[in-house]
Amino acid sequence: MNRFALSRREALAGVIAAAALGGGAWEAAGSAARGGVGSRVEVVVPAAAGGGFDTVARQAQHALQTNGLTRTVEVVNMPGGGGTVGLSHVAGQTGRADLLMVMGTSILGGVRITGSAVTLDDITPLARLAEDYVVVAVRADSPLTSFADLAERWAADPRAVAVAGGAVGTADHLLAALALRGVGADPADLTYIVYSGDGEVLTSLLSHTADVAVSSYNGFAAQIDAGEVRALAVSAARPLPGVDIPTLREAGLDLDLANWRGLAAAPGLDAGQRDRLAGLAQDLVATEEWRESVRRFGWEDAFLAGADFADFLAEEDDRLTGIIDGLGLLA
Amino acid sequence: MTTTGPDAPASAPTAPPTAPDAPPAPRTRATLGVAALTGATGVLLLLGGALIREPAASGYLGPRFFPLAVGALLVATALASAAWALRPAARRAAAAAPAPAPERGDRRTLVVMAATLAGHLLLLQPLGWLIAGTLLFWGISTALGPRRPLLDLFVAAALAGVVQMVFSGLLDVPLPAGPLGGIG
Amino acid sequence: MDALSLLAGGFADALTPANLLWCLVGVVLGTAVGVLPGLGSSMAVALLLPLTFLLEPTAAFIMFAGIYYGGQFGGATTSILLNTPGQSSSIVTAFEGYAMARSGRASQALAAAVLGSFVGGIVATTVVAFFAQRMVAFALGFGPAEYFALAVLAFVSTVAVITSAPARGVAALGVGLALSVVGIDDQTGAVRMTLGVPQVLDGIDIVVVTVGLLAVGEVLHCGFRPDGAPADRVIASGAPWLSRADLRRSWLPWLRGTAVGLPFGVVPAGGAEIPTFLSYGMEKALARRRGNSEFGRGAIEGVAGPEAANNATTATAMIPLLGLGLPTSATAAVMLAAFQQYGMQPGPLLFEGDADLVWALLASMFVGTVLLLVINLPFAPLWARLLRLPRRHLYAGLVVFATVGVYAAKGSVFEVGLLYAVGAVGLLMRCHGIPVAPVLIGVILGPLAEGELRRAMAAGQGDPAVLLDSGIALGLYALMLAGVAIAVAAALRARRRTPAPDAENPPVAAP
Repeated sequence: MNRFALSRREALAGVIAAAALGGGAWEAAGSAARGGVGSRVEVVVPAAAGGGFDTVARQAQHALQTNGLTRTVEVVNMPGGGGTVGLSHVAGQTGRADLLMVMGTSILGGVRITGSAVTLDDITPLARLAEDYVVVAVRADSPLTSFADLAERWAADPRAVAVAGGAVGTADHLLAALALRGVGADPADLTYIVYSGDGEVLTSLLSHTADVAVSSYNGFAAQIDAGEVRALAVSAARPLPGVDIPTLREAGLDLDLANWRGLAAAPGLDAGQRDRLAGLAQDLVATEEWRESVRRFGWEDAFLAGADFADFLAEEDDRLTGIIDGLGLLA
Repeated sequence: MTTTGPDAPASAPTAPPTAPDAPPAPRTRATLGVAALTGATGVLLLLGGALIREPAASGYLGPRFFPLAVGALLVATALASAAWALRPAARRAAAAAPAPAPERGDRRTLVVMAATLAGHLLLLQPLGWLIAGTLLFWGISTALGPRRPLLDLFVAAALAGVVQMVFSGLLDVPLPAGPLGGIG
Repeated sequence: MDALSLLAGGFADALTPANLLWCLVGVVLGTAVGVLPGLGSSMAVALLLPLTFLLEPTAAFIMFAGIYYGGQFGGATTSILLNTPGQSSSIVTAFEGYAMARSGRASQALAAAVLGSFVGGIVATTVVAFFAQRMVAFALGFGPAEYFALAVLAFVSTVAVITSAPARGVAALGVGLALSVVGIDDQTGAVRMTLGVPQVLDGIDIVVVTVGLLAVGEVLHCGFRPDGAPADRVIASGAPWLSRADLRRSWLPWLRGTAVGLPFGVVPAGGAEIPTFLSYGMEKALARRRGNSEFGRGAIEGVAGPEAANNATTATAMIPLLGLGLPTSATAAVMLAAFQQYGMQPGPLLFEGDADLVWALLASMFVGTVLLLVINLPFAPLWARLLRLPRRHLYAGLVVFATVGVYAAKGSVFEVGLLYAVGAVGLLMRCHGIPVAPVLIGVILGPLAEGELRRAMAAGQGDPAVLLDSGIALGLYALMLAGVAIAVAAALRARRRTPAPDAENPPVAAP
């Protein structure tokens, strides 16, 4: 048998291989031509499923896909380290134009409080989308019926009150520490139980692990409506429309804290890629679905992009660094 | 190799493959080797744990506690199992047992496989999935059975092509395009 | 009964031809994506999300249920056939399932897995439908101290029951725990044990460790020790169906696995890994007591129990989602978002406010479970034929799928390199008789154990007594001590009976 002659099986395999290679090459070239943007976007959430950041990502996923702005949006949860786990992941994906990350107050705080080597300089911040607020809540059967009761308990024995909230440096954590200082105690005495998502914070409260929970309003909304959780105060400067919770200012504390949410992209993008992704954020906030989400979750529209956003980010970083330093928590 | 249960890391040299539940024969050297590995992991954890920089907001048990605790547990286990293996009764039993057959593996196959994997890591980005993936399949299959390289090559190319179509076409997951990236 | 009539109404909504078609599509696509390593059901759900938005809510949820179950089963299929778990909840299935496949009983293993999933799914869905509200109260009994006790129970039972040499088990568990520590600390953000490599700041992925140790390690080992190569071409022998003897051996493990799995889905941070490991350990200990253990060589009990436990957990995971609005998995988070899309807020009021949809969803979970059985049982022998491929092609394909799965999930060549490195470690462990299961349980549950320990200490302000200040935790520790006592007693008895250790467990003729 001629050793160069193909057996029938080999010939068949060769034909199939040629066809598959052709198809694969066509797909590879096509996918490369799309430049990785427009068809599929991966959204990294630097927190566990079911929290504030997660909600932003999943609402964006819905709005983007429904309006055909992208074909597929995949949400990936990467909780931990005050958001620095997700941040480090995105910082390592240099040049990926199909990657977005949800970011906000909590990431800035998380970076400063952990002394993370990876900072916002290592990713590409794109835009601010909306503002959210933090709620201080207790179980319905708790003896604490108002923020004044909590202030009294805190002033008497700060360590005895177990407070559950999001990761270190999040708006939850900063608000708890600021409020404790506001009632005249040492913020170093805060007994704070760290969770990586709002859902876990709620469970911690309901399972009697924590006495007080600090988290975004939406984490508690269903339980507040059902009468199982009582909100003591909200961190907004003015009362929220349609939400019957006193602000911290009304409770007598000189304190408010907005928890803004935004989007960032991977580092190392060229101007065209960056503009395309920033445009995607702009298109997102204009969709009917997104406006509906903002209404439903009680957020405030706060879109900001470009140079204004860069300025805001620098200011916000200074402000939060000052707060954390003032609390004695700067790494 | 015949067993793959969790405690039967297939055909360990010291145990017949059909007795996965049997405790390992008290061969001193094997036990000491495992103890050394355990101890080394423990020491690594102790050193690494000691080097962790604790942030100010660390709570009651900081980031150091767990690595140090696990490291200490491992070092203790290593010392205990070494002492157990070196006690006189165990040494007599080990001496009486037939010497374990030295690990004799098929080094040629392993080297070809390792070279294939290393080559794939180096070539995946520059050549793209289609070529690198074809070589990956072809390298492994030729290492395991080098009789029909041409058929294997065709199968490899077909599989790489199908994978590329499924991932880029259906799942929208980008695989490295290699030189094809420049065409579009 | 009220709930019954509501459920009947739900079936009326769910059982339209169009909905059945969507469920079918979901099951098939879920299975197809589930068989790719690294791409579990959450990837499948994400891919199909745009399609579901076009559907009315009932149809969308029915399709979700199908994808969810399909993805779970896809993971089990690759565990059994290729030693490559598609997701962490099907790791245990690989241990005995793959051993069964290698002895020509792949289709029996698959059938035991499908039927186990079916039993677990149906029983658990019934529990969800009728006892969801009461189970929520049970879930809230779990705080940090209880979770920590749960993790310790899993560690100890892995070392004491699953492995036969405790020192090696502890060593392997330690390696797993060490790997779980690498990266940025969850709670404080401190950088730990990264050796200066920035790519591991976000930790070492469970998929990389699992697929590396089990699949790549297996291929390397197979190349390194090609003993018995000609006989190694596995051909599915005998009838492709479960024999009467198989059924007799499987039905109790199905029920026991279901019972083990039920409570874990409800507990929000539990996950499906602990119950699968516990069910495996239980079946193995029981088999050892009976004295005819086939564990390690392909015991059908070791597939039947964990798969039932897995699906029971998957189904009861709906309880925290529906009753508390807590998603316990990525797939559940997608479903939560979908609920919110349709203007509903899962939580205590959902059963009152949107009863129609909830009951349609529960009905569709029943339908999805039945469809999974109907579709996959006939396919079991077909899947098993995959093993008739030439060995070199099978293993090369395995490496290709492991590589592309990890690359797709993580998007970097570094992770692929890590995969191969872990595979090399797996080869070394196999050569030195160190079990791999404890490594996996350490990597998966290490973060849970550490995180909850630290939370418990924080809540108790540094007083260790808080760890024992709970009936549930004390009960779990008592269970653990009892298990260890039984294992030690069995080992001592075995040693007295047979002076030569290698003579223990004489080979049982394979059926």
